[in-house]
Amino acid sequence: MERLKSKSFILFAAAVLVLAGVAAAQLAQPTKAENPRLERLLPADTVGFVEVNDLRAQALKVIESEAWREFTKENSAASSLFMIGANHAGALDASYAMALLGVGNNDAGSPEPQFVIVAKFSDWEARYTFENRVLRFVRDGQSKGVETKSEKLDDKTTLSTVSRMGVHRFTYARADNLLVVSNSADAVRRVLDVRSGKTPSLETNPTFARARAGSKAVDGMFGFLDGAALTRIIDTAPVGADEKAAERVAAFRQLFHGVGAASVQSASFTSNFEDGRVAERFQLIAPNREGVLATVAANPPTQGALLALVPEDAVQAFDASVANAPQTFEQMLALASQLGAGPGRKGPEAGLTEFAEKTGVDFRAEIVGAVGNEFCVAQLTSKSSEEGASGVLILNLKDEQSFAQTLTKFAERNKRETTQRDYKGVTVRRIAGEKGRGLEYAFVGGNLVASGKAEAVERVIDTAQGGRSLKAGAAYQSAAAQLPGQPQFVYFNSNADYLNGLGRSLQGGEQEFKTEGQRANLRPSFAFGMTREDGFYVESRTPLGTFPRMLTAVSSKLGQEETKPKGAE
Amino acid sequence: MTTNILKAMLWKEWRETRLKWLAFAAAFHIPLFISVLVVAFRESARFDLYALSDPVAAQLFGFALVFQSGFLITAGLFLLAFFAVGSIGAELDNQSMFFLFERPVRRWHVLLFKYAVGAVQTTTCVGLSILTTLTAIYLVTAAFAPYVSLAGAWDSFVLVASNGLRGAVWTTVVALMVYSGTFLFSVWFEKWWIAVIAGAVSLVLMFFYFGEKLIDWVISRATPSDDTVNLELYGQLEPVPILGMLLVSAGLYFASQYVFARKEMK
Repeated sequence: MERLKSKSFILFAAAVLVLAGVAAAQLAQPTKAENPRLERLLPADTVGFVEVNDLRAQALKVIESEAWREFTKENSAASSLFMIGANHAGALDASYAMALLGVGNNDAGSPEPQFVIVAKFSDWEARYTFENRVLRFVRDGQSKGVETKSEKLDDKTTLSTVSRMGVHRFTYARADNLLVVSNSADAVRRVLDVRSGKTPSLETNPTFARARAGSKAVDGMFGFLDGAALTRIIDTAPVGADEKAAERVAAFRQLFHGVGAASVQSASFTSNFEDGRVAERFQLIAPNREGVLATVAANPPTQGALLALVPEDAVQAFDASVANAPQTFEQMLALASQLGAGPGRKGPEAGLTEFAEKTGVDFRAEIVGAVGNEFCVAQLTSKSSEEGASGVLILNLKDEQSFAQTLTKFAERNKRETTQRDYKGVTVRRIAGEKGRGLEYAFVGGNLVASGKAEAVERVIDTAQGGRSLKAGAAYQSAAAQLPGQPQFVYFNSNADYLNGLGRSLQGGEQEFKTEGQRANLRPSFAFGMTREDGFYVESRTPLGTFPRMLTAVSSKLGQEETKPKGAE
Repeated sequence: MTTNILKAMLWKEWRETRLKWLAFAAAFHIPLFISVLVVAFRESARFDLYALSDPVAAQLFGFALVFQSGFLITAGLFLLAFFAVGSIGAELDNQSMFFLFERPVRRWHVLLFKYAVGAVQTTTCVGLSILTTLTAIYLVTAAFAPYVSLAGAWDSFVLVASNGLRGAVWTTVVALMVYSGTFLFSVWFEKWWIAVIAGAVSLVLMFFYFGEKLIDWVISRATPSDDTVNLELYGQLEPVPILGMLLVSAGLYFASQYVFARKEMK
């Protein structure tokens, strides 16, 4: 007890407590890069932007994810060194936004889009590291004749303009922990004006506010496109004196309005980690849809009937409603005819006629016209491990007989050998192709089943005759349970090959990853899209989304720069 | 001299120096404390810890081994000198030593016990600090890194620790030599600060003439580049310099006895 009361002990204990307190506060305190709400730095009339919030937090979530856990089991050292490399690339301690502010005139007086990258770092040191590494990387990439002019806008803000051989390349401004880079000095000044409160921010834009409120998550990635602003830019973009350029601009405007893009009020995108996986949501707000968009939106939901023909152990499958395919085709054709009209040009109608002459098949009537309500493509595992996976197409038809005749006619016209055999009471036909390839097909319940491999067609027949189907399987049922309504399309991936794909996508840097032979028991990926009263909604759940690619970009580009030998400069 | 007196003298030495020894033991883990602070305060360091996996943890253990060894044979030797300098001088200065002379013990016995206890304490601290640092890092990474487990990193830990034993031998021998030298100064100069200055000057001179070889024997061969540690080449035992340092230590001890025997104490 006496010792506990001694002065030195009390001082020591106090020092330890203070140190522990400071450490705890440091750990608990959010960095400035966390939840930075970069829309507060963008002008209210910003056309669109994509932001990544706190890249370090996203990298940590990747490390904690189910997929990375499995990947690390197979690539223990490489995955670890990859993450450590990304950490030391100097770009993780920030949130980034890339935005299109609009179109403005460049130094030569020509219109050009104004892009801006806004990076908010956790502290000035992180900003300095990024600026020193990335901007120097960009500058050095321009080789000789690079000149940088800097001016101080206020106590904290410096504006630098980088030009090469007298031609402006890019401008950047830095202030505290903020870095703004753009191809246009005007765009940088617009962002700085918003920052100082001189002009309103995107946060005050009601279209943006609606989109932001509608997005379920704000961490991770967020993207926004203002439909009205985009339409305004396209409609008012200067065409210039060049006649051909004017024609191209006019054609693009026609296409833009024809597909109904002008009726889109806004589009938003979020990508964030939920339950150890990435949930991505895309929302298109277009209550008064026009053109092709309206036709596609009017498509009835898919019944998913064709998924009942896909074997349960399929690697992946995509099923969509195509009931409005003929109308959509006609609209696109009409649009293409308008765009393609002109002296000496072949219109799409001419192309269809040419197709009919070459193949003997009327594409519009006999192919598009024969399509029924649903379409499905799947990748199936092979019974033998040597052959690998094979693709199969299952297409619902309006008239099976008619379509069969079309295929026969195509084979005869093109002098292709045709054979047929019986498989469990179903006729499987083959149209021989070049180099030993060919098309195997059969009709199952009014649906065309076609593949380059006989085994794939046979497996679909097996499933139709009582084999276990993907639709009835527990994995699909569990994934589809999250469907909030009737979707227009669904996508399912068993992720059996996911780790190999992840290994391939991370290749290219210093680390070697396995790209074959990795099997993992990951939860399947699932995506769906549906029409809503106010527009479209697409949602997907995948192991890691686009985050690994983002980290690869960071670690490979910046990491290489970091380790570049001096002599190479 | 009876066994009881012997026990009493050992007890006295231990009793007087145990807290100092604990502080000394803690001080020899300064690199570990710095690492803990870096991990606590730097997000980037926490991220690295979080991204570690079992095979990469082996590299971390290797770096920890080299770093701790480097600390021991540089800054650590100054710490050691600071510890050893208070062995005798302080007791001569405050005249508490004379109480011992009232006991039925010879003068050289007193010095022998002081030297032996101090030498065992310092060399144990120095030698074990390599292994305790490695063990702490092994346990911390297994606790906080999701892809490092006790079982998964065990082989790497054992490999690095077993190679680290060679480093422990080197640092123990060097520590004994430095301790013996500073012990001599402690006997020689009653004022502790004079002994500190003498010890520091001696160490600087030792580094000037001997430092490069010392670092080469223990560390340099194992680190041909900044990002790799070749454990096989770490601290390879060389009998000649090791025996040489042990002889120097013995010589310094006997020199201490010589000075102590002839020292005029009032």
